[in-house]
Amino acid sequence: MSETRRWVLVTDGGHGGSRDCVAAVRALHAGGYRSAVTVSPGTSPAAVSRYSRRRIPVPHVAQDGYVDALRAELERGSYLTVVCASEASLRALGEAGLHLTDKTKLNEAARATGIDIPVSRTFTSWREVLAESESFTYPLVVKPAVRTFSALRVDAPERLRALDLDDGEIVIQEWIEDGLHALSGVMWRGHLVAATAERWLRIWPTDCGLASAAVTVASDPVLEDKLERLLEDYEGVFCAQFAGTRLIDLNLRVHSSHSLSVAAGVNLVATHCDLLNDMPVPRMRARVGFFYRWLEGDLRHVVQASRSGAMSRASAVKALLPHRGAAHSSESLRDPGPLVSRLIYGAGRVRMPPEQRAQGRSETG
Amino acid sequence: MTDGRAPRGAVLSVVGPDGVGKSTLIDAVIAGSLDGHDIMRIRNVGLLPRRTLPQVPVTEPHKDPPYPPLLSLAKVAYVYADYLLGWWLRVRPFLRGGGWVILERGWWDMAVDPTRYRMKLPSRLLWRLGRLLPHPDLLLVLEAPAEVVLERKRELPLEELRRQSRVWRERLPASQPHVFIDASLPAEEVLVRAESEVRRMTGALPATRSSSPVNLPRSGDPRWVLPRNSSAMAAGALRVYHPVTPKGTLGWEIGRVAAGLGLFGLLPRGGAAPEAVRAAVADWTPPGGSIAVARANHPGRHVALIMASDGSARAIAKVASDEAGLGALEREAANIRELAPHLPPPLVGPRLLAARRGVLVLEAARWSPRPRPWHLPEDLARSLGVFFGGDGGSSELTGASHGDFAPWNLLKTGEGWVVLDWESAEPNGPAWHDLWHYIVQGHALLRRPSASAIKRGLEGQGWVGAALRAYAGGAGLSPRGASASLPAYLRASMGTLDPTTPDGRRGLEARRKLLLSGDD
Repeated sequence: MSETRRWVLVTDGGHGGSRDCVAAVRALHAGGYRSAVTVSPGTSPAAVSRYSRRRIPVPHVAQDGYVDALRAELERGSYLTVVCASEASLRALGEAGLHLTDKTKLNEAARATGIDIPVSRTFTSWREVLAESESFTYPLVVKPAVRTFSALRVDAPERLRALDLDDGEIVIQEWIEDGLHALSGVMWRGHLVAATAERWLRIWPTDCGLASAAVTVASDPVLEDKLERLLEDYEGVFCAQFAGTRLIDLNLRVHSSHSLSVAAGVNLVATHCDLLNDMPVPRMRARVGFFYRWLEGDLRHVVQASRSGAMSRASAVKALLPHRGAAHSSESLRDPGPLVSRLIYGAGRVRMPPEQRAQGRSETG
Repeated sequence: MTDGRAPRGAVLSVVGPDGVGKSTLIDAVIAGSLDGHDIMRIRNVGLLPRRTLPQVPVTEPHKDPPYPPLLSLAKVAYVYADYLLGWWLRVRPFLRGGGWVILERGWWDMAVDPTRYRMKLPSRLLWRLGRLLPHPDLLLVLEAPAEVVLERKRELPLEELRRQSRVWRERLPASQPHVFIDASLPAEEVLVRAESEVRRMTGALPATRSSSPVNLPRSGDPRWVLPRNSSAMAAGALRVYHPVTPKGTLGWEIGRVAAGLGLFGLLPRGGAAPEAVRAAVADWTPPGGSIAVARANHPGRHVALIMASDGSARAIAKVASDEAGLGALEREAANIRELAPHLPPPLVGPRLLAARRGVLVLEAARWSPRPRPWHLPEDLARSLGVFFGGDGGSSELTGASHGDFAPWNLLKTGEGWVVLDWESAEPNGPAWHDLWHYIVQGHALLRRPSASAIKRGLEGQGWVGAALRAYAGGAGLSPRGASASLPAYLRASMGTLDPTTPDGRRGLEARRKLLLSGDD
């Protein structure tokens, strides 16, 4: 009946069960696409969403042969595209627009298009950061220029010196208290075709984390224009994150809170696939007022905030009340595999010694 | 546009704390602007017996202790039932005769000060119940600084007077027309203000209570404004809506039965149809007739069913006020004149009675609802094909096309099938467009036929297959062309849908999935 292609290869370069990967697979399924997911050896079958029709064994993204295996699979199957669900896989495949995943270059490009950025300093090594530790204003945020670890909040010089981070370009940014929000969308031929604006109500980890509760809001056309200029050479799904008016992060890939966009009527991944299929796609903006929850993250946020006194018990209970029609992260009764897999992993971690637990966190974070 | 009966009276309620001058004002209004009218002056709307108290001035309204909650509840139920009974059996007949009912206090007074009535109940319950009761046409709320009231009558403490004043301001529902009058002014000024409000209210009243329309839904911007001058007219008015879903058809049938039994008279009075619509159709509305108005999906556009006094449909008017709507009506009128006459039976176009700027008047068809509106009978599909191909059939890729041939634009009548909404018609439309539009719109918005039924239809099976063959036969096209034409139709029509509307979103999603299903 048509010349459209339905198969999409999804890869996170790991076990294929990361929240971003699960979100991509579910969104593709909801949009009528079929996904094949790459899995590295030893992956639990339960970790991968049941909506993936094929599992393609490939080496881990950190190992040699990952890219070759991926390219071989793309040649073998009639795939419409490959969807990267992690920064590592994105970099391994050398996708377009990669320079914007480098914080230093992102800051320059953002400034050039009129987007506010936090006051930042870039250092070529961790040693250089330590040498300057007394000159910073605390609290501050430590980020790798190219994502190798998650951003960290540091409150004092002695805390900074206690950190043991890999060498590599490091960005030190001012700490911003303003509310967090994000704008996810699809760029196509210089235009922002589809967009979801969301306000983050809570995050996990509580200092520098990802949305654990969010709600869709009306999109700001001025911000949209600026992002259109910033991303004019990029085509695909992105998620730009802001603290107040300042851009703090940009992901050129599907994001873990993507289910919120789908619930609010804008399936970003499927829209990108539609565009690749040359389907007519109208300008779409997410409907406002849709709620998102990453259950694990939100529970941990509320428990921690309640214990620390940042949240009263009544507020904690209110925060955790179920929302009718809420979009969830990897938690789903219809697709319970990723949740069950995560629970098993969590139960295993409880028995781990603390050092091993910390190592496990960096692997999954 | 009314039924010509005598102007009706009204219910005027005067409320406020003791000592504010309610009785004085009522006496003055009766002697002034209502002089010569039949007046029923009451404190209690009901008919049922009440405990009679000695006729002495109230000096301590809160002196008796309230009843226990259960007894209070029983009293509320009794008073509520009595209010309804009194309204229907006593007040309404009096109003029909043109009389005026002057009500001192009334239900809202009980909601503001339940203690006075010895009630021990949440006031929220009384306010909620009050919203369901028939409301007075105008509530005059007399208010004055608590100190002034206290000086006139020392019945309630200062705090209580302040509370009541605040509650009147905050809690009165918007559905109850009301006006606050400063009773601390001299009595003459209070009277002037009150009489001015009464005159304003009288001018806004419909000629008869029964001629006031029903708004559905009741809250917000109503989708339908239906007259209820008589049971027949109320039932006939529902023909402004053409149901195409099982739920819609069931609701429509129930509504017609209820309207026929006169139950629409129990619904609260709603606002009149937009003035622009009434003015646009005034020339075609027969004496004693009325109109039922449906709001279209586009802002500023309406459909009005023009009815005779017996409720029979005389005409359908499409009214538009926006530029795009004006253009659409002009196109539709031109297409009805030029293209619709080429429809072969059993399909027919609507008969155009008049076309003016902003209004199109069409003959009303006597249609009956269809149990399976998504199903396109073979003979209709063939007619559609003939319409596209012309008399001699066509080997061309373009031909006459309705452009919006959908289940809801097709009415089944005794004389044939009337095709509505001609604004998108064109003499050189693409082949297969009308047929696919009918099938895909049904699939997207009525969930029938299913995607698999459409797929089977492409293989020549089911009613979809039969319709495709019949259309091809009528148009002189090869049935094999249907398969290639579907993706072309889907892609083309996706660009015409509005993703900000629920129907647009559903239409887009259904088309996307149909396009993708071709890869199975």
